[in-house]
Parts: sequence; structure tokens; C-alpha cells
Amino acid sequence: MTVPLEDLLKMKPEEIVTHNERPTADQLRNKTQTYYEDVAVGMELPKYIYSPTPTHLFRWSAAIENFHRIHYDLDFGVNHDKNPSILVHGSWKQSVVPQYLKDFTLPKGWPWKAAFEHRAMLVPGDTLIVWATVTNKYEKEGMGFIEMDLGMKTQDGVESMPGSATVVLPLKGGKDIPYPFVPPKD
Amino acid sequence: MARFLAIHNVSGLTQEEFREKLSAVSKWRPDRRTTILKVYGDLKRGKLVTECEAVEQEHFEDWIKMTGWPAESIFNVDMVMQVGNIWEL
Repeated sequence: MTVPLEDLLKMKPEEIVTHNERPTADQLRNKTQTYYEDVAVGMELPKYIYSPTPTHLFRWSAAIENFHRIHYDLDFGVNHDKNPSILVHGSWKQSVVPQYLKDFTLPKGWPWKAAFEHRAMLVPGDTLIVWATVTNKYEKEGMGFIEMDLGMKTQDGVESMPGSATVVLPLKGGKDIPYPFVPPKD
Repeated sequence: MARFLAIHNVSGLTQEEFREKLSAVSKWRPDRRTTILKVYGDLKRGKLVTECEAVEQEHFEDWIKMTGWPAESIFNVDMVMQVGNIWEL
């Protein structure tokens, strides 16, 4: 049972990180399917906790070949761009959302769509909570559609990435979700 | 944003107290408008120099009150040299 977001935000960062529910690769390989019927409106999805360090930021800059100095050059970031520190990449935050949705829908469901905004600067030392709450569910063409609000909050409750998403889950005893997924016609 | 520097008198401050005052993000970045960039300490002589990026000096003063390290003077920084890089703020 995931700890409610409201309760996590009352904790100190060192306690928040103990509630990280990010699965290991082995857990994902052996994950039991979550079906449409298992999900209720208002349900909170597992929380992923991240604690980015300068090393993580440097590694991400190198991996995606984004060499903007605000992400690894503290002197430049602070004195030139007047940022509070080196900044966590928006592209890294973007990468978290599809991973989060994919993990939730595995092995037979699929993320369909997601939208979010980048609103707050995140810095090494921040403790980040990726969260989602189910806002609606419906069946169509033998598939289960789950709508949710999601985001990435800091330990202080600042929402850095408000957004929403829709994923598709199989019905119990129903057909497989086709791949590639073709959205149903309205 | 503007850059400020303060000199503080904090006699008797220990390393443990120094760490306790600064060891969480909320302690060096109490809100989105105030960031303490660096704190230099001469604990033996009870002196600290703090560097802060803030929208207004008042925000830095709020942090000083919160931390409880009285400042004998506060300066507005407009030029910085750091290992050969010169920045006009």
C-alpha cells in the first residue's frame, strides 16, 4: 500500500526516501498485471523517490549530449544565469514520466498519452516525489482506460511538473491491448 | 535576483551546530526566492561570511533571523572573481 502523498510531505527528506517504491529490474520482469478492475478513482499510484546529485546531472548531460553549462558548471549557473545551483534537466524529468507509466501498466498494458509542464527549478539536494492519482476510468472497445493527474513534488511540496496522463489496462479475462496501440475512435 | 554577502558574529558555534543549521535544502534554500550559496566559517574566532542569492535583501534578512546568526554587516555584491572567471552581477 503506497503512503499517501499528503503523509509523505509531512516527513523529513531522510524519511521520505525510505518510502521509495521504484521497482528493480527483477521486480519489473516478474510484475503481476494490474487490471482495469483493480484500479479505483482516487487511488494513488506508487511513489517514486529521487535524490539527484551533481554526479547524476553530469551523467545525464553526457548521456544525452546536452552540454548546457547550467547543468554541471556551478560557477556559470550561479554567476551567469543567477540560478540557485546547477539545475536538474527538464529532459530527465520528461524521461521519468513514461518510465513511471510503463512500470504501472506492465506487462500487458500501455501508456497512451501524457502532458505536463515544467514549473520549478530543481537542484541537487532536493528530494523528489513522483506521484499520480487516478481521476477517471472507463471501458472502450474491450480495453480499460485510466486517467490520472501526476507530478513531481519537492520535499517542500512545490509541484515542479503538474500534468496528466491516460494509460490503457487489460480487462480481467479480456483481450490483450494491441501493440502498436491504436486509440479508439470517439 | 541580487547577490548579498554578510559577516556574522557567532561566538561559540560548534561544527555540529554549523552542520545542523545548514544540512537540509530547506535550511539553505528556505524558499524559491532565497538561496544561500556559500558559508565560510572561522569558528574559533566566531566569524561567518555568508553569500546569498535573493530577490531582495529583506529575504536574506529573513534567513538570517531564521538561522539566528546575527549579521554585523550586509553588502550588495556586484562583481565576482572566481578562479579566474570574472562575473558582473
